[in-house]
Amino acid sequence: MPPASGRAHGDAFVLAIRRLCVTFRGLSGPVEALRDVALHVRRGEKVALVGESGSGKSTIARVVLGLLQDQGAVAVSGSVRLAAREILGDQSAIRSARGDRVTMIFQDAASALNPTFTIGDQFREVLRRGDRTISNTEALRRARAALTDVYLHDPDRVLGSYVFQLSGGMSQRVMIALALANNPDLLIADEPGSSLDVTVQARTLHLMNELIGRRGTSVLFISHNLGVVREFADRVYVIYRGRIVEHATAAQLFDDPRHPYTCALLAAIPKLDQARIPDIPEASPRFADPLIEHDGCSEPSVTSA
Amino acid sequence: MPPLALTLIHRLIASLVVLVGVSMLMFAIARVIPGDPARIALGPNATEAQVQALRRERHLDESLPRQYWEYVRELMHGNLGVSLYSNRPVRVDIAQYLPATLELVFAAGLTIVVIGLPVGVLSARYRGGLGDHLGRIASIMSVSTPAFVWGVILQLCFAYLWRLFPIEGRFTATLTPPPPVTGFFILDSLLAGDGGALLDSLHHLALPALALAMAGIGQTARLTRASMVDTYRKPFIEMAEAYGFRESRIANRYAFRPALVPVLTILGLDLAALLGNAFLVESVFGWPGLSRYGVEVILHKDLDAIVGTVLIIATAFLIANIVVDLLVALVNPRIRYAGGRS
Amino acid sequence: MRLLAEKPEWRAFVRNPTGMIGLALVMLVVLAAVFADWIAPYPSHAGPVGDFGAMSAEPGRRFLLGTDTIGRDLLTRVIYAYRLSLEMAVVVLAIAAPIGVVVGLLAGYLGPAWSYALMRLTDVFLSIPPLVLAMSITGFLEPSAIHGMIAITAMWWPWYARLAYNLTRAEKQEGYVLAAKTVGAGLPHILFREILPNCMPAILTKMTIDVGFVILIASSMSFLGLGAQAPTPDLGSMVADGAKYMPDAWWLTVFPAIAILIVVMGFNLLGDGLREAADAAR
Repeated sequence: MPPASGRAHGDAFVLAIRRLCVTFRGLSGPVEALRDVALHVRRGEKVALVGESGSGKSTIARVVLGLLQDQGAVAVSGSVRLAAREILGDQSAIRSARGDRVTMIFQDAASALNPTFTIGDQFREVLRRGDRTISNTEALRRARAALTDVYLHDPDRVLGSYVFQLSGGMSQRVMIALALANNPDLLIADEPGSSLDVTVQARTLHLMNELIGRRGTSVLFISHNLGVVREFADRVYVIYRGRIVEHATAAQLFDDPRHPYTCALLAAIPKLDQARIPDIPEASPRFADPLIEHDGCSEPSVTSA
Repeated sequence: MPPLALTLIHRLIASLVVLVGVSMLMFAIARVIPGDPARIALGPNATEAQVQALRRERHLDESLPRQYWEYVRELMHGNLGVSLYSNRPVRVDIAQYLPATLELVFAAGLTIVVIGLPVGVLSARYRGGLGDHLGRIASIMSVSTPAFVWGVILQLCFAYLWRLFPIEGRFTATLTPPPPVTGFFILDSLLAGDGGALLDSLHHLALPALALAMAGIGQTARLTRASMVDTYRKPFIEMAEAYGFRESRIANRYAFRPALVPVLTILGLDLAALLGNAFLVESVFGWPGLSRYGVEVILHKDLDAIVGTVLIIATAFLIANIVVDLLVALVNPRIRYAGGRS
Repeated sequence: MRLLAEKPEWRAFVRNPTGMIGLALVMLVVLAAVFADWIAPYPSHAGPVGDFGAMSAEPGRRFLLGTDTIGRDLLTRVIYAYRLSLEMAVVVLAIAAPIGVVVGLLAGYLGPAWSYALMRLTDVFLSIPPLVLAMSITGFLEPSAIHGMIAITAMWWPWYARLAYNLTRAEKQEGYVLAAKTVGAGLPHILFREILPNCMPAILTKMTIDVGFVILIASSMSFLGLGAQAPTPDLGSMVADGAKYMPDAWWLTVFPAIAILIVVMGFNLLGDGLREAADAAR
């Protein structure tokens, strides 16, 4: 495993996470969701975080956005820096950043857009996050531009629509346009389009790739599918049961996987010439696991209710 | 045709079907009960000849379908029959008493919305806190207490012991009520520009309206809280949070509007309880509405008047529900554009 | 067979404060009603005659809740009124719920024409305010406790029809129903053996809450003089009679009013607790 980026916290890092531990209140006692996680994203870099559902990858996104308190987290410790500013335990820092400097693309755009407001309303609200004094006409102009960027050819119709009037692919494009509308430093993409069918998802991903490439946005791409990640990421973190088990450049990882879990994930990429998909040991934080050795978390230093 | 208009037409037809059903039901109850309606109407002292005459006049000797047909034909002409209790056409009686009842019900409905919704929203926003728990207990208590008990308690506290409000009535007897235009004293005094009359009507209206509203306030707060909590779990709220929308703005806009849809739908059904409970509250506060009339005609077995009163109240309920449906369409674009019911 | 105490629903229920408070209130009322003859301080005061030496006595050591204008002990009358109320509620629900559930099952399972007809039929009843419908039915009959019961039953079944209808519509799509259909099970078997058991928790919860609401409506009717007639002790008419002597003999009104609140709230909390326990155990 390459050394976790220890000291450097300069401007080069858009996101730097160190020794992050998160514990949830479970039905039968506390459940450790993240253990000693270290991860960083450099400016302009595309980083993928790969693991199966329940591995803790979405929890990382929620920590970065300060959304954990709603989900029953009992203890959070470690360090999370957004552009060199510590945000763990500093709600005001997160609040000023999210929606503006950090944005997120949700898995299922159709349910992440509010059903009772028009797309235009939601654009205006997001653009206000970037510029409090933005005028309605300016907001409209920028919303139109953002929608044109994602190749929605009739932006005015889309802006006047409600989400249920759009197709799944269109909603996903709207979501991408919203996420990039304020030109964020960091974009967190949580399995974008995984609820869509495969061809639409592929188109969505290419679109996203093209837009962030043009803008130089840093991306933390969260996925359970290594196949999707390969063509997309500069570096890859593999997370398993709340721990980062492997960290490498994309090329390294695919050529020379080190960790048995990574090998299992790689083998799980469907190929046409391979009929059988090998089993992956199921990830469940409750039971002891042969694949990783435990060495315990540091005492929680930050506690949120 | 726009989907909203289709929905509206669909609802109108369904309401009409229901109204016909109500008339059949009331007709059936009135005719199927033991005893001769003409004899009941005229009382034990009438002669046999008088009873026979009334039977002929009311088509009571004909077959039941024929009787129903005659009854519906009269209804079409706006004729609800003659009240034996007041010796006046039922329509005239109802026209006299209905506005007072509706004024009370409207005032209570407004109170429910103005208090119940915000309490529910705040409860959900600060869920788990002390205020939330107290609010929950208060709303269960308010739902569990009959409207007449609220009336009696409010009257005891704020009219007898602490003389803030009048004990009963709709208007101070020594004052002149506003010239009747709508029959609603509030509106009439506004139309007449009579500030004194307006204040006096409001002063009389306050306690009865609050008593009538209490159960609804609790119910609405409870429903709103549940619906808001449900909505807070939706992905679009997480998205709003992830994009840093202000918490109050999420509560008052992005969660409130979707959460309002089920609340409004159930509120519409609750209107029936409001119209019924108005009878109790009117009786406590001597409010000159349909209640006293309704109870009197029931005790006098005044069949036409009973049926007429029920029909009018059912109609009021159905109209109010169509209005509620339009409001639901207003907050729920899915109905506006897709025409379906959510 | 598992013991009740081992069921997850039961454990969740015991841990639920709302449900336990409700259970305590309900037990209090039910025990008082069942053992009225032993518990009531002056059982003879349940009738028309009281203690003429102690008319309108204030609440005190001899008469805990005071006496009414003809010297009858209020506590005794409240206890006997509970007995009448509970009897009424049980009878009403025992008749209304099965009727409504059968209508709802049929409307939910049969084709759209049937469901339209049956649901409009329930709309007819639901569009008349419950109290008004019950009142008008007693109007055609004579005001009495029995007729009040008939009237309340007539207005109560549609709520169960609605509930069963919605539940059936959801259950109809489930695999086990389709499976039963595929092996050629008859309509009664599918409705009562397959679908109904899965609807029972929701129906029973509603019935628990409704015991309180039936008592509430019954007391509302007797408050207007359209329910049980004197000298039968009845909570609604006690409040109405007492209101004439406000505010001097406040206890005549306030205690029966609180008695109504206790029983309605008790069943409400109990029902809420049951529902929450069922949700938590799932």
